[in-house]
Amino acid sequence: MNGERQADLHAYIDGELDAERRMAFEAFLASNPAVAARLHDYLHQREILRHGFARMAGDPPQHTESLTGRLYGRLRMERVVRRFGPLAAAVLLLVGGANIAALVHHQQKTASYAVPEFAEEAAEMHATAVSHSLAFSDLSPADLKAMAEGLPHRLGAATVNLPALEPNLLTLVRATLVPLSSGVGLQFVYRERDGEMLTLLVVAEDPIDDRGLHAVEQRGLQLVYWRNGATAYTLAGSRSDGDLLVVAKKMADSVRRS
Amino acid sequence: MACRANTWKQPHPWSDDVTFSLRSQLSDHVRTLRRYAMTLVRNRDDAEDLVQETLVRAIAGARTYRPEANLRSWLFGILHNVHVSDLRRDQVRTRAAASIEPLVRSDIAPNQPDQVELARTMEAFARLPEDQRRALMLVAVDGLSYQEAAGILGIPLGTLMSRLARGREALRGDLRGDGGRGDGSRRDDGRPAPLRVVK
Repeated sequence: MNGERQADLHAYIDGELDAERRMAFEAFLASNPAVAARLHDYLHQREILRHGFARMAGDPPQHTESLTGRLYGRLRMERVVRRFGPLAAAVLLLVGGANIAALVHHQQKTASYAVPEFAEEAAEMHATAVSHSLAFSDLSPADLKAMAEGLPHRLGAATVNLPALEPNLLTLVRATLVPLSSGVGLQFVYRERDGEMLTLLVVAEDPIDDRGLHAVEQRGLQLVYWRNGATAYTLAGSRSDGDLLVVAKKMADSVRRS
Repeated sequence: MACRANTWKQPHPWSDDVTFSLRSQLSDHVRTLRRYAMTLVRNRDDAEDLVQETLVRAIAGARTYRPEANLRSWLFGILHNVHVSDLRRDQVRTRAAASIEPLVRSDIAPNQPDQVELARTMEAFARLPEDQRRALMLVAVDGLSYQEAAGILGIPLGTLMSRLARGREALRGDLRGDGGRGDGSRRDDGRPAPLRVVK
């Protein structure tokens, strides 16, 4: 079999021949059983490989699924920004954010003993930020503070209060609007004096009469979440962080006082 | 070679079709990435790590994605960059060495004739040179067009076709026991000779 016929054989298998060339090659196959047998081998080989890789890959683990969902949210948001332009998108977020948040965020009408979705997302965000060094920002502390003060408007809730913390307790190292599996949230990453990293996730929720401070473990991390009106807060840190609950309590008190 | 006419029409980036299909496209692409990652690192845990790091970087760099561009190619570009940086980490390279074979054996119990063939094919695939594995995975397993696969791999079309041909023939030869020479030794009826056990 010459080089051209060999190229055609592979192109035939891979659906790369146009109709005319395909018919010509099929005529060639009909008169060349050895080539037809080789074609059969390659097709069989392909089926086995597809079957084998489908079995080996299996279903994606939850973390991969979750990251895929977050990427989807991020790309969708970028589409909105590109479609309407940054300014229009900002206006959309400022003016219509409440409606957007209400539409795209899973609502939880009543308090539940199950870990809420927003708390699970905070755990994942914290794990990602720490393991992939995404927590650090090039922005100056003053810029971060300004960004942190401006971010609540993006969430769409009527009023979003952020905790005012003693400067010597925590250092803000990242403040950003983040895509969630559905909707958006505000992510703040802090560094404690002892170097421990903390992630605070703030999301808009339907108001729920829940004034408690809930401490749970999720994904090997320690989480404390609470609600204040239409806003839910989750503080995530490592399981060994002994003062996470204390810091969360200070934050919750600060938010409720403001 | 006359390649197939490109009659597939790229939907408008902002069309409803695109909006509604983005999620399913993304799921399909992640499945493809996971399979491809396995051909690169030959270890399921490292493959999963590679895909997850790719997704994290894609999330962080979503602003750089242009909707009119090919989403799959963009994701593969990120995956390749992550893989290249991973290769600099010795522990990944060490763990990856020939570890697909135990993986195959643990997943595919060779207790039936078709299972034996499956396990042996996957092992033979794992022994192919990486450039041939990549080409076969993208085109033969995942069904990408030559043009898209060549773009993802950053190689000319002719190089891709050559790798495909060599990979297929090497795999066939390995399974037939002639070391990939492709000497055409077959039974009289044209069907492949029975497979022999490869030690």
